Amino acid sequence: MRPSNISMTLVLAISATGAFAQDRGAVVATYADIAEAAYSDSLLTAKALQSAVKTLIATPSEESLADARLAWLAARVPYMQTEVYRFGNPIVDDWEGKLNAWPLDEGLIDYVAPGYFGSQENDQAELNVIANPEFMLSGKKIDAREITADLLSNVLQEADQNEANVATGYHAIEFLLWGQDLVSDAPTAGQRPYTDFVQGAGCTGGNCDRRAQYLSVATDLLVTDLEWMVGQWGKTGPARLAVTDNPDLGVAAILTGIGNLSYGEMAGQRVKLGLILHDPEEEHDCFSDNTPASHHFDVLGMHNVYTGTYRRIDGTVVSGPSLQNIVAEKDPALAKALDTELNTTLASTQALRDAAAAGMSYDMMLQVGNAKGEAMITAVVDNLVAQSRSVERISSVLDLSGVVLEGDSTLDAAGEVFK
Amino acid sequence: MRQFALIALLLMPLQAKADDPVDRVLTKVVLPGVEDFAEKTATLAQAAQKDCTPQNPDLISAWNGAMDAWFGIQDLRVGPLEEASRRQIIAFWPDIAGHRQRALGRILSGQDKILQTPEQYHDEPVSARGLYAIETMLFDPDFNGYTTADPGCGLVRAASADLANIGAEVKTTWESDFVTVMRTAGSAQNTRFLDTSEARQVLFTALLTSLQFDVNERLGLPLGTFDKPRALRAEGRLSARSQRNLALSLENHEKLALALVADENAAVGTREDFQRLRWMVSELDDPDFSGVDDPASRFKLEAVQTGITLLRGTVNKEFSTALGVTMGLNALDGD
Repeated sequence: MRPSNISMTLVLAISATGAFAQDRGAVVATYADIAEAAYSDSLLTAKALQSAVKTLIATPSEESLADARLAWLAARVPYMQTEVYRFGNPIVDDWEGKLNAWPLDEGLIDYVAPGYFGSQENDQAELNVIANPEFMLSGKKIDAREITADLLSNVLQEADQNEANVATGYHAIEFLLWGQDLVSDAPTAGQRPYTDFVQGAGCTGGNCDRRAQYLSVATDLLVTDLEWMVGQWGKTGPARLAVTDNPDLGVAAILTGIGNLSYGEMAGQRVKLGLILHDPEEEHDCFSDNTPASHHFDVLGMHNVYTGTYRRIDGTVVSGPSLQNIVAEKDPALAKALDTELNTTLASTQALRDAAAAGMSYDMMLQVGNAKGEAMITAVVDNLVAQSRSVERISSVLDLSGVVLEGDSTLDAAGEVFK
Repeated sequence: MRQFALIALLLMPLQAKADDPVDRVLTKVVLPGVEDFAEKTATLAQAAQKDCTPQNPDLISAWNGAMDAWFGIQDLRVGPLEEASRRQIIAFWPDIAGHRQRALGRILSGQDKILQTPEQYHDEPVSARGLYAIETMLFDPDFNGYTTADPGCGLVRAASADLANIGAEVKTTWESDFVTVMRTAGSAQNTRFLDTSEARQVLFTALLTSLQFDVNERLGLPLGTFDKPRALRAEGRLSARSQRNLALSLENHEKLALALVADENAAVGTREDFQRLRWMVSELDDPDFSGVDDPASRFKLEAVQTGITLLRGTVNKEFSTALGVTMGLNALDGD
């Protein structure tokens, strides 16, 4: 179900657009600069989270747990703005599941409430590795006495080829910091007590040593993974070179990113499914009730790469020639249209944040019979679909149709399938 | 907004002649398809009203009729089925997480009071609505033991009536609105399709997306991997219609394709590919795709899957030339 890589063959086959190559070169340089800055900010905030987690584990208290949660929320702000890089950049797409895979069967990781349902067919939905130093997995006995990065990344992540087995990344950490959100008719997030991390007497939930170990390893992994991605966008990083070596492919990647995140991912799955299933489990940041912010910064990331401007967490601004500029040269009305649409979508995701701040959390919006919540989320979906049409038009105006939006190597002439 | 747009379109002189491929699709696929689906879902609602139990052969046959009719319109990935979540309401599948059983269980246990006001059934989540929810009630041994005295009866009646309403809505929305929107693509007042190529592109994209759906979901889900086949994930497993669904799906893709490119001398490869696939599917003899577990029959399903992938490449090549468009955004390109 993951989008396939953009076909190199098609990219090479399209006619040369030498006259615009220089403009496009500057545009993709901005795009890569924003990626580097946003992943660097994700790394900085992940390190702050790592430090807050260390404090929580060393001195569990209401306060240190609250601080760790705040650090997690802050870490989501730059990271969600990088999601637009996921589509169109195979290096990002192949990697991102380690950080942001979702939805997850959290019973794989830790204790869950009675009445919890894992997804169907997931034999590990209630494995609870924190409580089980030894268990069977696909007929093999697993020694999990020590909770290590290897155990999380190579044994538990997608165990048994099941995507609901998510052992690493933001959502695994989120679950450990908040616990399950069992209340969907009041503005309450997960209520994990800090005592779940108290060592020795006073420990709640059992196995506090292993829980602390898990949280610590998962947070370290997040930092390591982000360090790697920052490098990919550095001066000679392969992710940067992939877009700057061929500016047409780079511009195509920008459009694919905005188009697929808007249409297939958010409007088609992530935002829409929760709405039509009325299921709080279908909430992206379901443990922390952070979903409105999560959606909002996804859209802001699209706006960043379209306008070539990113505000870093320290307030400085990274900017340069943008996709919007080159579209404006060819079709000013269309260039403006996408800008306006992105701003409209941002207003609708901001409305979700405002409603959540005023006491209507995202899981309440999803409840059957909440017409106001339904209308607000529907507006977000409709706006995402509307902006995706402009993305299609832009690909055509820039002579990139056939490159941008297929994003699918199996679409090549039949013979290519066997190569 | 939509009404306003429609009035504006009706008031203007119809200078713009509909694009031929679009017009053929509207006449040969859309209009008969939505008519048939509305009729078959209405028949299903009537049959459920008369006798709601799974032992009623008329009900089973009416459900099969509605399911068959769905394939006549599933490729219309534009307009009424993409608005108000109607596609998901009618056909929420796949459901790997198992939302359906949970949602139905909640209603049957009385935890959800919806059956006291069945006319409000449209408020229910999509997992409890549409063709597959009714399939679960009629064919899943965990659900189909109900009698006329049980909540299951009320649920089947409510869900069938709700589905018939959606069927009627799809038909009237196409007829009274979206047919005109598509026919007037490129007219000054048409804000949905700025030129005729946009209407062609959306139908071409729909065809490629539907073929991908067959490859990734209809076949890909049950096939899983060689080490881990997932027979339980097959669409129509409960009603043993997996093979029939795939056959109907391909039949209707072919119908759409031939309406888009009518010239018999064009898209020759596509025509041949469809013909070969029709034969391959007819040779399967694997009604619920449980053959994914057995290497010999699994091989046949894999061959069909590869065949559709190849067909899709051929369609892409031949049709983008014939129609002068390339594929647009793909609804399946999410996670």
